[in-house]
Amino acid sequence: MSSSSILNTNPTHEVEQTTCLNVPNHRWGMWWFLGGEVAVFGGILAVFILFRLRNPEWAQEAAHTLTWVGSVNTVILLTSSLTMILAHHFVTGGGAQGLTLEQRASKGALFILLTNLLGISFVSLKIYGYTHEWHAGYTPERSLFWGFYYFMTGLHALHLIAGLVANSVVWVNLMKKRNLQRVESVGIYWHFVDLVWIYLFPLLYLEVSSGG
Amino acid sequence: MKSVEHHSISFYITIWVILMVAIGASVYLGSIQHAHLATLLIFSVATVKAILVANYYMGLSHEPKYITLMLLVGVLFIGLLFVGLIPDIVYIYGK
Repeated sequence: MSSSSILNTNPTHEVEQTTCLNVPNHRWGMWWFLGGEVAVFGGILAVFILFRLRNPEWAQEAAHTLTWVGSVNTVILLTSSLTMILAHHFVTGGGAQGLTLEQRASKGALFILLTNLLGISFVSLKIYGYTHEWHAGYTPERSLFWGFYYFMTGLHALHLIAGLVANSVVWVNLMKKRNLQRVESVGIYWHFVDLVWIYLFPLLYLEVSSGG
Repeated sequence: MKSVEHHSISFYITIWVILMVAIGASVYLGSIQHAHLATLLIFSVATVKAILVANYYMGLSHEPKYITLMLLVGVLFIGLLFVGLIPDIVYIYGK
């Protein structure tokens, strides 16, 4: 029987997981996946910065994005990273010591739920921002900046929605007290989505000088 | 199994407070129009935020170094792409 099938059928999560070079396989998988994501978002960010250097007037375009929406969303997303790490802390991290399986699962489920509520708030505010900007005439056809804006933030939002779905699956697992180690995997992914936004925010919402 | 993190709740909250202060600093610096120093500072602050999230929330600081190196290989190739495209996009495209 493979390691993963043991984990899927053993509700206690007390079995030893398969590791490679002292890293559990589920974390290896996530890091490899994120290696690909680095290439995806890194490539897009690099091309955007190149065009931004080519077009100094994009600073004026960036002035029309809703900075307060970007700022509040940054606060929301970084706060969701805190709730996500607290979920991991109570389920499999240092905070899990001395807790029963039921206590670990219920605390983890609570913080995953908070993370998802914050994620939904982020998406809702993003939709509000899109609506406001679109009705003001800032559509992708207006200029290349707005094409990049909708593509980059849209792709990020799709990743965040995928994270919400994954978190929901893990939340159900926690309610059934199964597969507690999955909190670690979805947590790493969620923080990565947060990390991408950390660079999207100044590039798209702050009127930074291009130096051009 | 080796767990990713061994920090206390207060440690994570401290990191979050630093991140919140950094957001405020970024927004303030963004209000300084056309200041190249502000641009440099904004992206320096963003990089500090990214390092804090990667190291302490994602747990990279507790992972073996080759995990970080594996991710940095992608960043390295993005850097090569960036440098290689500078002549075409910044100086030639559309001119």
